[in-house]
Amino acid sequence: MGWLVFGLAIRQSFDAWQWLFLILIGIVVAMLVWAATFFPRRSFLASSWRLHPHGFEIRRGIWWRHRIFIPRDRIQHTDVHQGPMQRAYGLASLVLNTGGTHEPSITLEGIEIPVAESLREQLSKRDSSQVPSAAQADAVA
Amino acid sequence: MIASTANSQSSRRLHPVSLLFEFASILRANVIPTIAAIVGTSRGGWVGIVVGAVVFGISAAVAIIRYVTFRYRISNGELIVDSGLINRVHRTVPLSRIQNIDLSQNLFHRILGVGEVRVETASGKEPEAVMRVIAIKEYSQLRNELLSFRNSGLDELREENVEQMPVSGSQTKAPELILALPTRLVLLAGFLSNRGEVIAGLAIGFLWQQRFSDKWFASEGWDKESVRESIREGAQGSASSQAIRWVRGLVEYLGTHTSSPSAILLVLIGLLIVFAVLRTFSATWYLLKFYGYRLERIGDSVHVRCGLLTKVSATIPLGRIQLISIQQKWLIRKFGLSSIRIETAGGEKESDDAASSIGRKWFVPIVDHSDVPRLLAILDPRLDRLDERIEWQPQAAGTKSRMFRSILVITTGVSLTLCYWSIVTGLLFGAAFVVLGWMYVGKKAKSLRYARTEWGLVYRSGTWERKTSITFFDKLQSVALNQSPFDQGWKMATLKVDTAASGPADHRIEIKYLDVERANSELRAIIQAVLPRMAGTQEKLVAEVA
Repeated sequence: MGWLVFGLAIRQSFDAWQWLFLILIGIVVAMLVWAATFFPRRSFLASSWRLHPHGFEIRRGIWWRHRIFIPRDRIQHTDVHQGPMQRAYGLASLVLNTGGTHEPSITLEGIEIPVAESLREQLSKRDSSQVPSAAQADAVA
Repeated sequence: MIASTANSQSSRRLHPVSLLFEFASILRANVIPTIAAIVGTSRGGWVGIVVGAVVFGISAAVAIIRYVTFRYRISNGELIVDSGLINRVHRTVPLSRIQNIDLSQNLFHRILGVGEVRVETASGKEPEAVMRVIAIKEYSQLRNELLSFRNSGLDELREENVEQMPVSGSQTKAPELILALPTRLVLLAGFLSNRGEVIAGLAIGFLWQQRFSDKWFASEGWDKESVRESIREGAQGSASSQAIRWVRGLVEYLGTHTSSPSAILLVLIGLLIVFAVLRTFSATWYLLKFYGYRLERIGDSVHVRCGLLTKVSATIPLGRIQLISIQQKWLIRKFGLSSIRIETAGGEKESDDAASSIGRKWFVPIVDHSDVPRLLAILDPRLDRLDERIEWQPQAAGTKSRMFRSILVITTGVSLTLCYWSIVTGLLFGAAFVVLGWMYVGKKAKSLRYARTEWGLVYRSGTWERKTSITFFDKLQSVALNQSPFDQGWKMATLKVDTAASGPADHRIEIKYLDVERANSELRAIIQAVLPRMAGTQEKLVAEVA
């Protein structure tokens, strides 16, 4: 709203538009610098995962904070995924698939390959007392 | 008798009239060559006849091949379906995996005593087996076998939660009537719902694209010539053109007599007539779809049956229900009525397949609201006397202010923009919007409700269309807590749970405006409830999770 009022007030003057343009460029540059320096560090600090005997929990996000818990026996299958950038740094993403409708796959990005693989190992081990439900087994098939 | 047939039996074929329906459906799929053939024949052209003959020949051949190669049988707890000649398909569906077995019968099916049967599992978008068509007797037999299998001890793979159902299966073979809808109630529901408007909207959109866009408005006047032209060009018959002409005349009349009271009266009467026609449409749709509605319980399944011309029936195992949603549009609520939708795993979200939509989206199309608790208790005994026992959680303190602030931001924006043209209009608009907004916010905050019980979650939302959805801990796939930047500012959080429900209830359990402390404790409590019960270790485990 403020921008609109400001824009209306100065629309007669071409010089003012130039100033506005410069300010906008300044903001964009500042945001890029922030995104390249401070953001990754904060984002790294805000992200964490935890493996529990009966489930897996992920926390991430600075502005939009997410905390998600998936019970172990609801995990249908797990994938380890690597993009070209991740491969360059020896990283991987762990993708957990559930039978859920809205969030059928939950991704944990930027973990080391051995960690991702050991997580996959551990998560795919089912508790032997748990009988897979029909719906889950079907979706795997 | 049933137990013995469930173990093994000889292959069964489709009903011989399948040939006819298969042939018709293939012809329908190739509608353009068929029309070419008919036109060609009437004009005596040989190309059309050849095309027609080829299409007919291929259709007939395909129909015969499908009929001859299709076989099904139940053996050792599995439904085995064989089909195809070149692509031979041998499909084995364990009976324990079958979610639904649906029947639909149109008028021709009913005359011939046959029906189209769909067998669905949780797995996919399309049914595991479609039997087009088998005799009704065969369908009943198939269903009985399935149900008796489910009720017998053979069902080893049954889901944990099925055990929580009363083990009454073996005794109650006979269907027990849960709900039958009188025609009067079905008609009332039709009049109260806006099905007609939806259909009319589609029709108007279609007509608009067809011809109104340039022909109607570009012409200077609405003279006889343009009517004739439109009749010649349009796909519509003369009746609709007459109606258009009449409406057009009316519009012109009103255009020249805008301020006279008779014009206003005419408009009002016109609107009333349109409204009445649309509502009649809607009532007709309801009558066609839900005439003779009956909900029955057979063992651990419920069975829905309804329809005037096309009769549809669906069987839903109770243990497979992921979500139950009680929905009340404003007018429906004012009349003390409700509808109930259920969600099971699998199937498409917006399935137009009649049987599956009856079994889920239109599970109970209309019911007296006071009867809902009884139905819920039948669907799941844990829901018995839910109304009395439920304890709604309080909302975060700032909920109303937060909702109002977002309205205030929009109002300020719009009214400032209006002030640019006229200050009075802008201010008046702003003032009106603020008052209405405050009232709306009050209603909205009041409508949002959330409760956690020992077996699951209950979430209610919606001011205009109130939806109360119930899900169970044993159906949850994941639990999440989200905080947007706004949430952080208001010290609130959103709690989301995900189930395998396919979504016809159109109500996601996503509880907004929770106090952040409370949201965290709710998350802990839900995790505790979802985790497998292990005496002793549970407390420690939850402490660790938290």
